[in-house]
Amino acid sequence: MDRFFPKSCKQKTKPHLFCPGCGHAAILKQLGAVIDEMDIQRNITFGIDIGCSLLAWDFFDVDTVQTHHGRTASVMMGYKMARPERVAVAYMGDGGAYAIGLQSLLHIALRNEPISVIVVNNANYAMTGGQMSPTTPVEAITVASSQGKDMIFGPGLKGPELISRIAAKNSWIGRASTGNLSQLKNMLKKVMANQAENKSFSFLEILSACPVNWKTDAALSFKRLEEMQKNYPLGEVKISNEKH
Amino acid sequence: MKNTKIIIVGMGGQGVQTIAKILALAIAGSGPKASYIPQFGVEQRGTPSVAFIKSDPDKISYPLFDVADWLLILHPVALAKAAAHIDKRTKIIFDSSLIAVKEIGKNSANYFGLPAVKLASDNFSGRSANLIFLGKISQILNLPFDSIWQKTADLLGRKFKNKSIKEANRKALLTGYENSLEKGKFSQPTYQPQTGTINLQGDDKQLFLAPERCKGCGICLVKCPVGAIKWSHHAGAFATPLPEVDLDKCTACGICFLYCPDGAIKVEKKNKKYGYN
Repeated sequence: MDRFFPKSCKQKTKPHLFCPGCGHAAILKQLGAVIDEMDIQRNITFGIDIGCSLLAWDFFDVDTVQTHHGRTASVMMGYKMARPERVAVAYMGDGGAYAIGLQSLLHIALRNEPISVIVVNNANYAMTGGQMSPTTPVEAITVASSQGKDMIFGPGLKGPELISRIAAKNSWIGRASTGNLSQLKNMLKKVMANQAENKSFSFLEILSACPVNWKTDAALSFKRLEEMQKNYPLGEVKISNEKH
Repeated sequence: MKNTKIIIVGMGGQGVQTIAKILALAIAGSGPKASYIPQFGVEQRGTPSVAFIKSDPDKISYPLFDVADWLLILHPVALAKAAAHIDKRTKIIFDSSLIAVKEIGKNSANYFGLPAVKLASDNFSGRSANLIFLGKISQILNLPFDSIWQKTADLLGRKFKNKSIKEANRKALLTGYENSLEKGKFSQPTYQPQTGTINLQGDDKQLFLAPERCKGCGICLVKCPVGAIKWSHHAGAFATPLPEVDLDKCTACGICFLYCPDGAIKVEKKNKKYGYN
C-alpha cells in the first residue's frame, strides 16, 4: 500500500495531472481520506466537470463520470434518482457551477435533491489560462482584466450565500479553504454525510489556490487565500429560507 | 542569418515556452523576422510542451513546419513528440545528464549533448537548466550575448527578486553560451529523478520522500511550523528542486504530509503507526 495517499486513491496514476501547488490535489487527497473513513469506496459515484476538475478523472479508484460543462450536478441528480442507495457527489469548478451551470445548481437546491455538490473556487477560469470569472474579486488582475477587475462586472459571486436563500432547512451549506485542511476535511465529511442522514441537498464551496494563474509562489498563495477569506467567510452558512 | 527552423521540446513547467519566447524576441531584435508558436495539452504542467520558432530574413508566410534544423530536447517525456520533427539533416541538442543517447535514436551523427541539468544543479539551481539551453542555441545562431541577456532580463525581470538571483541567472545563461557541446562521447544520464521512495533515518523518526511525485510547489516549506524544511540541490520529477528535511529540528507533527498535494513527503515517528490525518 502507498504510504502517502489514502486507500481509495489510485496509486498507478500518481504523480497526478494537477499543477504544482494546485488546490484541487490537496482537496482530492482529503476527499480520499473521507471516503476511506466513511467506508464508501464501493458505494460512491463521483461526477466531474469540464475544466481543471476533469483532471481528477483517474485520481480515485471509484466510479467516476465526466459530464458536459456545468451539468455535473444535473447528471448526478438523475443518477441519484435512479440509484438512491448510492452516494452521489458532483465535483465542479467555479466556472462550471457559477457561470455556465448556475441554473442547474439553483434548481437542484430549490428541489432539495439529496446529492452533495463540491465547488472548487479558485477565482478564475484556470484551464483556459486564468481569465476573469464571476467569482473573481473586484480589482483582481487576471488575463482578461489586466487593470484589475472593474466593478462593472460585479463583485465576486458568493455561491453558498446565494444558495442559502433558496435551500431547504435540512440542507447543509458551507465554505472551506485549502489554507486550513483540517477544517476542510471536517466539512467534507459533513457534506458527504448529509445526503444520507437528512435526504437533503448539501453544498460545499472550497476556496482554492491556483499558483500558476495567480502567478504566486506557495507563501503568496496562502496570503491571497487569507485575503479572499475576508470577503468569503469560512464556516457553515446559515439557511435563511423560512418558508421551505 | 539564413532562414532557420528551431523546435524546442520539454516538459511543461521547465520553461520551454519561456526560452522560446525570449529566443524569438532576440532573433527579431537582431534583424530577421521571427515567429513563435507554442503547442501543449490541456494540462499546464507535467506533459509534453513544444515550441516552434522560425526565422527568415524576408518574410514568414506560415509559422508552422514539419522538419526542424535544430531540435532541442529538454526532457525525456517529450521524445515521442520530438520524433515527428526529425530528419537526417536535423541537428539535435539533448540534455545528456537527463537522457541517454540510445533513447533518442540510432543515427548519432547529428547528436550533441549538453548536460544542462547537471550544470544547473551543481552551480545554480535545477530551474536554470532552460537558460543554459537558451544560451547555447543563441551562441549557435550567432546572437550577441548582451542582446539575449537583455531580452531575458526584460521578460523575466519580475521573477528576479534580488540581485543575487539575477546574477545567478545571468551566469547560467553565460554558462550555456560558453559551454561546448558534447559530440560522440556523452555524459551519463545520472541526473534523472530517483524512482521509488527515499527513506532517511533519524534518531526517533524517519522521513519518506517520493522524488518522482514532488513538483516543487514549496507548500511544505511554508507550512512547516519549525522551519525544518529547505530546498535541496537535487531535482524532482518536474526538474524542480526537492525539499530537504532537517530531522533534528523536525517534530514529526505531520503538517507537511497533510498539506502536500502530491503525496511526496511524510515524516513518521518510529514504532508508531499513523493513520491518514
